[in-house]
Amino acid sequence: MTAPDETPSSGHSQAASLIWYVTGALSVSERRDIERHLESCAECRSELQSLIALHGDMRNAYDAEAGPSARARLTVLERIKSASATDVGRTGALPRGRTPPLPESLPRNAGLFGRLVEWLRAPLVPRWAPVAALMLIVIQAAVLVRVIPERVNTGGEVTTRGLAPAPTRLRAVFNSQATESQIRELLSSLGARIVDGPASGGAYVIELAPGDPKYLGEKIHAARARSDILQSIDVAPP
Amino acid sequence: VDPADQQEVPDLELLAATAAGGSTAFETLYARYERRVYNYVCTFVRQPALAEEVVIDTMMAVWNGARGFTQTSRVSTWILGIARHKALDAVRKTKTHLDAAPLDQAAEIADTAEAALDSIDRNCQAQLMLRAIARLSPDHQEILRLAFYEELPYEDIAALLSIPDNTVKTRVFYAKQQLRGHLAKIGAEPVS
Repeated sequence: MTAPDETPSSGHSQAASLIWYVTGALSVSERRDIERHLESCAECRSELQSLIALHGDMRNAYDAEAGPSARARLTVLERIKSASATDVGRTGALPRGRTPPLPESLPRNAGLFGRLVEWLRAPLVPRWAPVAALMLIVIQAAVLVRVIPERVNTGGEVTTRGLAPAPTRLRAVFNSQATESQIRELLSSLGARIVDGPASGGAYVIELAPGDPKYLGEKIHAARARSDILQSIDVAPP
Repeated sequence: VDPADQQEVPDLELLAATAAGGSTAFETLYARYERRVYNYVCTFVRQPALAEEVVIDTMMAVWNGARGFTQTSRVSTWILGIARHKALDAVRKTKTHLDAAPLDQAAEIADTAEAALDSIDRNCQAQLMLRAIARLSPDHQEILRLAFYEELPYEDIAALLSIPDNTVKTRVFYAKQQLRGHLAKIGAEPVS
């Protein structure tokens, strides 16, 4: 004969769930369903009383059962102690929805050697890691604020607190008839100054003050129009 | 943290602390489950030494797998599930198991556990109850322990044993009937 897993033909369907009613392991709706049934069923009320008694007797009996020998406990604790010694990364993040860990301290009966080992292990256990990470973030933020271009409301222009743009250097050959005052006037109008020269062919290197690159072409074009002062002007090779 | 201070801490918190490397929390969890796991395992495994090995393997699996607990069941269901798996595995390896007996022969089982109880005072109701339980088939012993002692919901038991919900209910029904019969035979106080 095999296990009769069909629902017992005699008896009520609620009777089959009475033990879970006794142990409080039913949902609210199931519990209500049974309570409604019990109001009108004397047979199930009697079975309930019987189950309550049986449940109590069985719990007492199971509580009286012996456990394994102390060897099992000692073996397990020894193994986790040796596992802990090689598993410092175990204190990582908990899985989703987990409750936070309980505060842990040295066992009171750890012994001097055990406490020494724990003390030596402490620097390896990254309990300070969150604080260090926070400090690093703050320092990085401060550096970024200092270095990253800062938007300043100056009529729509963007200025930076970073490295200054490189000045534009031009190669200019002045007309031999040009006077010093004419040259000064031209340089002044360009916002330029002579930084090198004369090289072969009488070329000077002049440096324009940093400005919007889009105006560079206009300045060179305007300078070339002054043929009375300049023979030629071009962007100097780097 | 002294394990004595954690007696009221829920299983779930102890397991979370264990997952974070809390050996004290694990010790509390171990103390809470050691005897329960051992006696549950004895449902399948005859030899006490082998049952102890299964307890050790189970609790090491709890220690190593605490971080993988997904809260889809109770902690007790999870731990007993590990124990069941390891016990059945040990049984397969050693071939020393309690064969599931047909229900109509359950009363005839000459369980060695019963012999071990012979010296126990027959007036002790708890021991008589254990004697009656020991006469049940392993399937019935298991399901009564899970329902009456571990107080697992029938859905959890169904998941643990890989059987339908209704099978859990009917198996409990028949196990209870068998148990009452054995109690009457061995002279324990009648339970209704």
